[in-house]
Amino acid sequence: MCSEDGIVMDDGVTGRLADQRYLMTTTSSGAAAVWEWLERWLQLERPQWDVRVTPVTSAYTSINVAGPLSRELVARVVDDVDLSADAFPYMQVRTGTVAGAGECVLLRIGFTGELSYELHVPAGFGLHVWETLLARGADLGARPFGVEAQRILRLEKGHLIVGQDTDGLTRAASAGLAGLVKLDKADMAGRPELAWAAGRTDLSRCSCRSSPTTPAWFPPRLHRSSSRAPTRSEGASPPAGCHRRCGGRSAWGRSTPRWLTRAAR
Amino acid sequence: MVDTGAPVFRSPVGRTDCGPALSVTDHTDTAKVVVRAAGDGPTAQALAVPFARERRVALAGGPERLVVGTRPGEWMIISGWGQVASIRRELPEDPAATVVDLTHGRALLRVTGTPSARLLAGLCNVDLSDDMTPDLAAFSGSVAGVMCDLVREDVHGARSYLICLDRSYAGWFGEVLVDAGTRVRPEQQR
Repeated sequence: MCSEDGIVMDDGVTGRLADQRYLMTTTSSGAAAVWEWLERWLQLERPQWDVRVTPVTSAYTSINVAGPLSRELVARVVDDVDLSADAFPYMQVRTGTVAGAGECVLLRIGFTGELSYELHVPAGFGLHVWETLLARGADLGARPFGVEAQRILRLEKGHLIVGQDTDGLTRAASAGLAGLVKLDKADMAGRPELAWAAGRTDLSRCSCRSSPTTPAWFPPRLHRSSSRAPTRSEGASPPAGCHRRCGGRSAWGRSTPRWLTRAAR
Repeated sequence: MVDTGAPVFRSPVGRTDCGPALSVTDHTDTAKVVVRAAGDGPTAQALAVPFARERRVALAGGPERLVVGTRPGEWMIISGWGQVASIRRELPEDPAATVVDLTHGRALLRVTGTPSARLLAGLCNVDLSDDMTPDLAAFSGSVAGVMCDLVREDVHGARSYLICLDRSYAGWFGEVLVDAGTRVRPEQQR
């Protein structure tokens, strides 16, 4: 989701649940801002549109089932949705019953780079579904995973987090999201800026890099007087915000969140 | 056929006991449907409840349901558990209407008893006098810092308020409400 100046302001997935009904997800911290932004557009910019937005964040408990056996586990608690890869491919949405709870929304998306489902279930049944998933998946090794694991996996996948990997100047093209921008649409928020950015080759670019060897890096400016940078063998990795260099002295970029992952060890 | 047992609904509201003359009851498991439509369309005519008022309405010959005029062009229909589909069927055909089930998104508490206004007065700045908010009045305001939709609906002559709020705050809000209720002195509770 880009603002009028083409800057990436949030990200999420929008599922079409019916002919005239959509469910939009946002980042956890961005939900209120996105709602306000949508209302501003509806009330000030397009008051003639017959569109209504209702926040339903509290109405759903959202559970991400991720991993190579996630389809098998979800199939154990869902029987009114065909979960096969052909019938329910990536980036698709279905509605159905999960662990006996109706009116659930299933999204075939994920943040971890593995086969993954997002289950959005009525909040009052959230704990029931959660406990059922863990019980039914015990023999599959199902267990809760935390944000740190999720963040490492998403970094290995190259999936950015708006606000951490982007800043107030990051356009969609700079974030590597140009493929998601539909410039052949007649009109949309930020279209002129996005079209301008799409034609440029000299803008900075976000990229996910795996460094098998210790990269050269400048510590943040306040610590630039350090005589040398600690090496990875000393337990260090480039801190967020530090400037990166390659060969010569000039900085060619800066680091955003970084993790020392099992794959990189 | 997947057999996972009947789903168990869990309310986020915990304890509700705060004295003999003042009761806090949890009604979070009621059906709560938000309807938005043009103020002069078929939906508005069927609901027949103006903004800032509440009324029990039998839609299309169905059972009586509590209809609250929460905003201009917006109503909340409150009824028993599992009634959402019936409510949808009872509403008239209206392509300009939006109907959203917020049963799981909103918590609902009722405070009943003579000192209920005194309890709420300590948590919000709404004028709860009979002149401003009489029986069947619907209004919104910040209660203990949480945005709430309130309805005054006296029960058998006893002053009573329904409080509807975002589910995410309900556990904490219920504690605040009960805590404030237990601090209403006994002589004030009678």
